[in-house]
Amino acid sequence: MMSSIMSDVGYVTIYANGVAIMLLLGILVLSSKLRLNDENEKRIFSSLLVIALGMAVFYIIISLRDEGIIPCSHMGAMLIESAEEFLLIALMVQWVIYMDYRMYHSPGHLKRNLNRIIVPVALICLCFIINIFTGFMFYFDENLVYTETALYYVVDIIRLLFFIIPIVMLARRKKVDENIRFFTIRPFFVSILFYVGIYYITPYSVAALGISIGFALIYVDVVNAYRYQDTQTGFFNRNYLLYLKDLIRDDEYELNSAMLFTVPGDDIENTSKLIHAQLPDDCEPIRYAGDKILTLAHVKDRSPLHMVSEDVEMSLTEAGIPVAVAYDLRKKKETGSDFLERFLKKADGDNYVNR
Amino acid sequence: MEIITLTDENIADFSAYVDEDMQDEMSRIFYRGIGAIDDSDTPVGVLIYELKDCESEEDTKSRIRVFKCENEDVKRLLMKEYAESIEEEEVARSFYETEDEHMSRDLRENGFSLEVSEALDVVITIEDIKGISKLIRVKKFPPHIMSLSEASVTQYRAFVKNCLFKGRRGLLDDLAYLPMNWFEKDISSCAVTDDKIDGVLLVKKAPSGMLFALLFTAFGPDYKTNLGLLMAYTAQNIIEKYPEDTRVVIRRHNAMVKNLTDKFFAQRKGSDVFSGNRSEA
Repeated sequence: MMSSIMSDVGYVTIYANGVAIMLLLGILVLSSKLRLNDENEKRIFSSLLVIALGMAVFYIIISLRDEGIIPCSHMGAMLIESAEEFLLIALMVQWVIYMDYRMYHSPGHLKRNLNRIIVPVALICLCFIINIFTGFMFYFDENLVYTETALYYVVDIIRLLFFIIPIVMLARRKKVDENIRFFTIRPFFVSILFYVGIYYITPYSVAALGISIGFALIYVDVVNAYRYQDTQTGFFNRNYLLYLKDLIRDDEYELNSAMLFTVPGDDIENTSKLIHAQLPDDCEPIRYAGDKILTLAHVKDRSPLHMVSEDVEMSLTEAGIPVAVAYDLRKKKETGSDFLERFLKKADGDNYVNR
Repeated sequence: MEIITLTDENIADFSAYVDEDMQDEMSRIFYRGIGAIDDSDTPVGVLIYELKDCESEEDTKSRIRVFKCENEDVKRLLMKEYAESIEEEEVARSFYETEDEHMSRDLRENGFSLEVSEALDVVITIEDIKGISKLIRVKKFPPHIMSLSEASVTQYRAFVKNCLFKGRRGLLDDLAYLPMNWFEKDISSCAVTDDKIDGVLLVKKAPSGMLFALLFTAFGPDYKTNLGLLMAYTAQNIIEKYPEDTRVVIRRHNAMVKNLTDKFFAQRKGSDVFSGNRSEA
């Protein structure tokens, strides 16, 4: 029925955006059930999905308007189109927020970053507001045919840079920051391919579909990383230790020291929070057993290990929680794998309480 | 003649051989001192050394900071005592760097190598620092850059842990043991993000009035920007709070610091020093 009253372009656009909506709703529901360490990250990601959902809905409305199925005045057309542009700006800003937060988990740095982009974002918004009344970037003629001016493409390229630059920064950051080793770049290329490739070259408005596929792949990445998480403590689990063992064996992880905290297994959630607060940023705590938290590190000196040990002991003692702490350094001619094996052998022993 | 262990309690008795700045250093955990006194308890010689890398699995090294003695007997006795002490500490190599020609000659006689080179330390003046302030003009510092006095002890300790775990200690082998108030808090600066220190420029004021820049590092996403801001902040504070004749010592212990001093203080060079080393294996 629809194909007889709509062109192929309209048909493809509506179906593609319908699929995008279903996909985005599915990811939204699934990701709400994930228990991540950082709930802020989940909220920011959910906001991205909601904005992308809004965009997909607007693409359908625009397509129905273009096909003449929804009657629309000239101002109505300008407002609908402008709303879609503002949604794209919102997506752009939320994208910068998500990438920044995912890379650095630092609200302070995010605030400084947003201060830097606020002026260009405000200028772009202003352009689109003025455009509603002047049509200097895009306009509709008397037959409600949509036309973009050269200036629109300039603004669009600037918006595209807002999407691409964080991806380039991520690629550079991955080389130096182990904490984001599970944050892959692959999903973003899919989205960009859709947005730049199909959207610009063809008449089909399928950007939202491309974005939703990209977000689905991001969600898959998050779930992949999630399998290394111990659900009770939020620390890494033994699967992660196996993963690190492979990296250590292949000399991709320089292991120089290890620490072990033995605590009572009951109320491990609160105990783990106290331990986590005393650990340096570069420590990756692993729940090795019900009552044992292991952390591996690159540091080669005893004094930092001693500091952490003292701070954890003091913190847990103040809370009335008994703790035994042990740490050791890799010997000079020992490989990382041999050191880990030696340390874990002692850790598995019942009486490993000495430093 | 008798050999005694020097501590921060008796070091003042050896003031004829050890200046006030070095006396102050004796309170640090890796400094060791041996003194020689004659039959009337008058100091006749001193050897002070600093242990390096003694808490890692790397070879421990010893840097001889002071070696002064009245005569050959004292010299022999001090070196013998030194050899025994460093054997207990499992020191693999000793080295020195000094402007004192007598010290270098005495060490040379005891098996140390000798070469003359440019000192790693450069001494800069307030005038030089005013030059930096012109290069890095900051009208208003962002709120996250502040003096160390505004940070808490808890923040400082957390920062030290982070720093050490990243392998950054500057010139401070004993960073883990230094309290926050060991540094000159009003001119030392820090960058604070999310309530955590993620960058510092730590300066120590010695008893003589000389300022020593000891740790200059930053990490996190804005580390490059913060390094510039920290330098400008400390520079401004030094200009405001210290007299014109104040001297600041920067030790060019790695390539990064050397590049920095070459860029900002190209006119300043290190003095000629005697340096050398000896294997203790």
